[in-house]
Amino acid sequence: MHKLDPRAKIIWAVVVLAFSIYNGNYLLSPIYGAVIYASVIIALIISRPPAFWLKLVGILTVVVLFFSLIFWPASAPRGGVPILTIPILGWSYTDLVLNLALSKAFLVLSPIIAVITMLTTSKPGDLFQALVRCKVPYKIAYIPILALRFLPTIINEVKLIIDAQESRALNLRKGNLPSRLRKYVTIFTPLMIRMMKSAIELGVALDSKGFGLSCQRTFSKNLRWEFRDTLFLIFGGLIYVLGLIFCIMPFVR
Amino acid sequence: MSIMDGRYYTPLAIILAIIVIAIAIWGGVTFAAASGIIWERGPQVWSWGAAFLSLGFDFWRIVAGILWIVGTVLFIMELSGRTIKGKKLVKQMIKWDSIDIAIAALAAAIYGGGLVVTAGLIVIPGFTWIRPANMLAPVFGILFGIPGCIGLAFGNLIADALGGYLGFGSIGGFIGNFLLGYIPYKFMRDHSLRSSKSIFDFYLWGVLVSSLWCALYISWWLDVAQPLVGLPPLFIWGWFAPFVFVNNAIVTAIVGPALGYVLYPVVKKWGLHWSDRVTFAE
Repeated sequence: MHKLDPRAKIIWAVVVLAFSIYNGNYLLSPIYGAVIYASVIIALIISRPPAFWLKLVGILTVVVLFFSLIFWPASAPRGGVPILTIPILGWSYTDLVLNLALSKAFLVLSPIIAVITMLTTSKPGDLFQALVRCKVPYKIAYIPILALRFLPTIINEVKLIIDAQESRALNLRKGNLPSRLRKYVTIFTPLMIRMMKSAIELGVALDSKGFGLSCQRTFSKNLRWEFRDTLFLIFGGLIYVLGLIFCIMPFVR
Repeated sequence: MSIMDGRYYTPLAIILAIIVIAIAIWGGVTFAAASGIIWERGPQVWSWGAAFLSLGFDFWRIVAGILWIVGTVLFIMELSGRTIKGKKLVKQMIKWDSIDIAIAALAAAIYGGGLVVTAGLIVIPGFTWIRPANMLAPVFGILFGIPGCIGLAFGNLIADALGGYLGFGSIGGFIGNFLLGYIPYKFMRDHSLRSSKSIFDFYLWGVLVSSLWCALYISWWLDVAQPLVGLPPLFIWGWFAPFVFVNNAIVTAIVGPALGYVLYPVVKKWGLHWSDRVTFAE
């Protein structure tokens, strides 16, 4: 996944979204939803992301399934055959309700995991280049990429400021809600002042490199669409199309 | 005239601040009280959810639809270099030089990173959580103008990506968060937060209107894009919309003015305030 062109991954994420939308609104097949979900999970696992992402996806899956099983039954069609009762909670579901709830859960989950996979397997610089090649003005495209570059610095700064303020007896976990919120002023004020200093320094650094002088942005290393990118898209598309054909067969429905 | 302003606006600002803070705290406290049973009995058990639902889905779809259209038009207009000034449509010259790009990027990093680092309780997975960093939204708007608002929009997108929530619904969050900074930037006359009129304006535009607009903007998008996003209307209008309003309002009402007050002179002194960097042409 890491070696693929970011544009191939963007197209793949859009394809996942499209098939998920079709399933979540028209087909309503939990099996097909699970096929798409499995494909994005496999893509995420083989890309070997940090454990944080796997944990996050696991938690997200459980919580979204839980929410869907609670909220979607109210909008489900009446009738159907009772097929599941969850012990302890006592929730019972007909086939129609379960199809709707699970399909909607997969509609939420699969595109999100596809995007996570795309982001964790692409370098910010490559994503920037992909956006520019997709005709996004490079000054606009540069903002999120620059922000991503500074994100770890900012997160470290926040932690450093919290530590510094806690060493001066600030306790962010103590007090009622308004007083706890008020304490965040002591975190965000120094952070903002440091940010403004950085903005001036960064502006000078960008100017010194001639940022914005030319309308045409060039790159030291150009993205190249290779055969494996095409193969990846064909293979991914085949899985979704074959899965769809399989799921609309009478014996599955 | 300024004495008259002060005389009238001081009590008005105090009353409005008290009302807004009380409403926001009331919303937060009632939500916390109902959160244990909300799972079993639905959003109706939360008084705010019940109040929103009592007006009906159609009411909110019409009201929020109008706000969505106006908000989107304002967003596109500002990005295309035009703005409304004194009831006239004028051209604004934002330099978009290195400093503006750096401000937007760092604002995005601080807002996105702040939302993630200070995110505590996840309320609706994939859609919202308690966000102390929301206090930055109106402050970025009134201090840095459009680059700050763009930073907010990208910051929300980054927070969604880092939280594992980046999806089709994030498009609504992108412009919704832009509006969170844009409304106080555009509608407040005095951004210094050093007069009672300025504080009154902040609570009116920066807390009440922008929080409500942002909540309804995103909710309408989620409702319309329901086939793409997968959220039921009961969930959106009975829970998501009131919670986003309360979440934005409580943080900005309690902390926003203090943060803006402290930072305004620094921003002005360093020449980063939007009024020092934008010119308008008739």
